[in-house]
Amino acid sequence: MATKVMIVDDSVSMRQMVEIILKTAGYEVTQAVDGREGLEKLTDDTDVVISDYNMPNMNGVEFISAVRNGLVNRAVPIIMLTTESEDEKKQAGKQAGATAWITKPVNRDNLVGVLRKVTATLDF
Amino acid sequence: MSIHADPLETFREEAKEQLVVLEESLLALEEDPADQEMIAAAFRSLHTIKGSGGMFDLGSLVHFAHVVESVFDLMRNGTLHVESRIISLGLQARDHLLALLEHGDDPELQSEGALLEQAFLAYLPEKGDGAASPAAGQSAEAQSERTWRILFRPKPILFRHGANPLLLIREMEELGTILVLGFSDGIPELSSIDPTECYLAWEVLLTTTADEQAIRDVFMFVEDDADLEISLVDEVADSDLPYKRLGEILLERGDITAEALEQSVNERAFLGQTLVEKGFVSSERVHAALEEQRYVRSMRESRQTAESSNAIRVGTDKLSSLVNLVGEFVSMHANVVFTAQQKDDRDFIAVGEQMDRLIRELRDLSIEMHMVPVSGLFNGYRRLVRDLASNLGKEVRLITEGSETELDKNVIDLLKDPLMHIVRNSVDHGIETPEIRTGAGKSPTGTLKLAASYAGAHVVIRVSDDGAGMNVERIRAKAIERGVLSAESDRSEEEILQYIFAPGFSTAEQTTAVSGRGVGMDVVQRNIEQLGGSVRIASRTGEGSTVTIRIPLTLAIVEGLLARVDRNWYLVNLSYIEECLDFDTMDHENRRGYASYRGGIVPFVDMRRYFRIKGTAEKNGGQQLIVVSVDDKRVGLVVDEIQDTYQSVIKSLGRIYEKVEGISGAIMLGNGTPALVLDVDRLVRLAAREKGHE
Repeated sequence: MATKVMIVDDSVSMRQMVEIILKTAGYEVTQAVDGREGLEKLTDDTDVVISDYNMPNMNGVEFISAVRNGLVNRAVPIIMLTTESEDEKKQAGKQAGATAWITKPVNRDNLVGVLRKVTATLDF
Repeated sequence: MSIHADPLETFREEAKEQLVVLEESLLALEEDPADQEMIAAAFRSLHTIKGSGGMFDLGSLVHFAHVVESVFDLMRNGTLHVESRIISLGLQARDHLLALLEHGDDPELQSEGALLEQAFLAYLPEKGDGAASPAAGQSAEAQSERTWRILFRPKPILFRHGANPLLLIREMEELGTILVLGFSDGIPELSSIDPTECYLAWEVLLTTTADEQAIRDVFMFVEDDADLEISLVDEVADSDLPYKRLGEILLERGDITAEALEQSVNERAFLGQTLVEKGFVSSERVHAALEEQRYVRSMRESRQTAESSNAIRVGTDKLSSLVNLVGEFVSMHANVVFTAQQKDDRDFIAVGEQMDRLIRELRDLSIEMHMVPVSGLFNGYRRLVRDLASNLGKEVRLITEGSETELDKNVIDLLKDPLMHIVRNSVDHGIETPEIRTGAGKSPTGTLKLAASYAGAHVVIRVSDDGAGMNVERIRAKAIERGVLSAESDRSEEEILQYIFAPGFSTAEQTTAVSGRGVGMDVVQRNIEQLGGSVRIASRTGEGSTVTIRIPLTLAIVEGLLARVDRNWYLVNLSYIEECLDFDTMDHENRRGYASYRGGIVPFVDMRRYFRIKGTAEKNGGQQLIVVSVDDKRVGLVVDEIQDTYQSVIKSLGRIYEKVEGISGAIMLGNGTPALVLDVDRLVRLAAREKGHE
């Protein structure tokens, strides 16, 4: 069964690219435009969440702590997207309970690499 | 599918929207430079462009956006004040980004971008060298395999953050060889278990070429959620390091205290057991330490196996059989070629010639496999020399030369005893005591030198000492006394010296416990001649002696020139032969046995006369002179005809013919007739001696 990934990002192109990359790598992908929609779409089936930091409505850190303190799939691995200049955001994300993070720019290698680090993918 | 139509197009559209936002923010900032909201908005749009652009391989766009974004980041956190120049630069940057989006990366844009980039970079603090150097340092390190101990004790919260320790262990597995030990001693009573908490701890022994940083990287996401200790436990390559003992390992891992170890180590029982009984450590920990001990050992062993895996150990008996079989094969091949020639079958002959080349390679290879350096032989005498010298109150320094020279292992084995006799003699009779040496103006420490070198298909081993040398007069007297030398003989000193190889010849006035009495040089000579070798001694009174042993590289097969005298065939070892000449056309003086040769003369031995074969060579002539040399002494051998080179296994002639001078063995020719192998060494010496008389 394919690993289910949810990408939470306000950028359409980002979501699309992540989806294309991950589908080719054999993952199943759902999209959410911000933290709020992410929370709505999160189910117990979701294997891993990829979330941007900068988002309107509910940003990445708010989203992560909402998941960790919520009732649905609270221990799901969450990968946070950050940039190298955002160390404090990374820290904030960690504090909130992010499982891992990817430093932008995102490409196939670091995306799939980190996904493999936090999820039991097809390889096993 | 339509949603995937062209993500790049979607990105462009989106990025243009972001550029509109950027432009608006910049213009707003011009009105109110203190508007934090607008700075953040400008930053966010640059950030989005950069973040998404990375997925589309838009390198220069991403790079440029990053530089601009960095400057806005400084403004956002207040390090940099918003000023109109930055705003106008920002607007230029926005235009540049738009151009990049629309036109891609053309050269004109590139130079424009480079200028703008410089303007933005001026606002950024200089980056120190520190950023680049750690990476360089890392790659320089970590080549050889090392074993690391990784203690991984996750905090209970680990699971709640979505981390999976199993994946981390799998990731480490990819770095090298691992041994995973789990510790379950942290698990509470069933009733108080919280399934969302992690109670387990792991110890992983990882043997890898990766450095510590690479191992830490595995844990990069869980560093804050776990205690991680990485320590180097073994340099796998350095097998000289002693293996750690159990107590040492437990102490190193912090499982026990030094006092606890102290208290337990003196008891007779097993340390691990004692420690557990005394309650210093859980049996699980002792078990883990024992596992570590075993693991380190097995890693080193497998490493050693890997190192030697490009070599296979084969019993010397098997190798010897191989060499012998190849030898037989060579002889058999000669038979095949002979038969082919008899039948005058051209195809058959051609095949035989091809086979010849292969067999030569096979022969060389099998002989090569059987070769070992003489270093082992030489070094075996170190102890002997040391002990002998101290027993005799002498000071002797043993030096070796050319110990990498290789010889047939069988030859080396057979040389061991003869060479030992020679070494003993040198230390015992050759080298003087320090007092005598000092008196003679020599250094008190004598030098014994063992040297090996190649000489064609032979190896020459020289044992030289800087001792007293031989007393030629005493040897002469002894030889005359024993009736092996006539009193009137005018043999050269060198020739007389060789009498020490005669049976029962011991000249030392006092026989010693070391060298015994005369059991020596005759046996030495016989042993060496059985190997197809020769032994000579040279000496100068007061300066020392040198024993020279010359032995064939291998016993198995000889390659020689087949020569005929009357109806008999003889084999002359190729390694001695310098050249072959048409004897009839040469100026030669039969009575005295000299032929003119290369502007000089060379003594010759008429083999017909030597072997007392009746009759004379065919009238039509065709006699050949084979010029052989041993130790720079040249002698010609006169034969009736020279046929071809021939390789074969030498068969011993047995004890009856042992004493026949001039023959060292026999071979069987392809057609089944035997041929005698000439003892060239002896013949040359004989010829030289005879000529010396005249």
